[in-house]
Amino acid sequence: MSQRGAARFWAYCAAFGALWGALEVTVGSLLHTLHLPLSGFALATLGSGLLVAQRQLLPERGATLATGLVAALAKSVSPAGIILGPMVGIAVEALLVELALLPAPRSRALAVVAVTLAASWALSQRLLMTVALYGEEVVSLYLAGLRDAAAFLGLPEEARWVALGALLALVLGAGVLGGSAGHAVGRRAAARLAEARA
Amino acid sequence: MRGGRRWIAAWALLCVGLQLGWGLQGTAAALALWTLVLALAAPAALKSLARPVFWGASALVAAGSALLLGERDLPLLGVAVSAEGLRVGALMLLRGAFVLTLVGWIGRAVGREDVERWTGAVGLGGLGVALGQAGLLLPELVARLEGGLRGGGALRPGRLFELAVEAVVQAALTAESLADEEER
Repeated sequence: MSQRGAARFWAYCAAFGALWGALEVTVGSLLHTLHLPLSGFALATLGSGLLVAQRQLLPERGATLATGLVAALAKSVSPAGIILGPMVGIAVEALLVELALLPAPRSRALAVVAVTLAASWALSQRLLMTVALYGEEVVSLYLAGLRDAAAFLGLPEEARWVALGALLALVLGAGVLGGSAGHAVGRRAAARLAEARA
Repeated sequence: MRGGRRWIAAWALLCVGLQLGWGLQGTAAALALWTLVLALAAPAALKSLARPVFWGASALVAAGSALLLGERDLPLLGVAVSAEGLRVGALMLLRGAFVLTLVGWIGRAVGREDVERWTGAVGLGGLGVALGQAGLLLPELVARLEGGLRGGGALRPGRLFELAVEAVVQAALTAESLADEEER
């Protein structure tokens, strides 16, 4: 990469990393104030959609992951040290979007896949972190708790498939919405910038 | 400082090793040893234990294990609980306390300059500069986004889309001007 190319690469990572951080601060605070459920999931969808939009302007390999690292460090490094939870969350979301967009950064279908993966991570991060904290035994506890709760509520066996289906639909819906919107926003922004340059 | 960190990291590895295949006793011994190491060498890291959310969740996990895992073969305060579940619950609680203090220590021991050094070593030297630039841009971007969201009808889909495009265009223009400055 040329010197100009490297400067442009990192400048885009800085600007979009800061924009992601600003989204977390503003929209994140709004969602937390309203006590809306799944606010982390909504923020992950929004953040990964932003990464998809950025990739329409800068289709360089590694740009998404580097932007995620900037956002993660900007959010998680404090004078007292590093707050690992949010840092890991943001970095993994960026890694998943990067991997999904590697074959064709400007593909709308891969944009949907990218946001779907990031949204699934946001949903499963709490469970994975709990397993990391307490060990694998906590999975047996979760399953036993769910079985007892289902029996107490008199839910049939099939209810678990309905619940799983609803969860998958939610993640896929977020992927389609966030991926398509991110792609469209990025394309429109690219067109507007091209007009301004012409 | 770095030498001190290495010693503590070595103790941490030893404590992790103690937990492999030694069951509840090994985990209890590892936590006791690790707490002692931190109390002597990095007492600030023990502050991570002062988290009511962790203790609340751990109490639920321990109680849930005693009631839900295994045969309820032990009367305890008038309630039949599982001895095996109690053991598993205690194991999870001790392991949780160990992981929490370990992560707390790592978070305090690793600073921004370490991350910049490591990323520089793997060819991501621009990350430190980008991080500094992002830190400078953040307050202005927050103010702009708040202003945009406060504007009338900001949550209408069409308006939201235009706001998003505008934010992305502004970020791209900022990036181009940062790249120009960097080149000069």
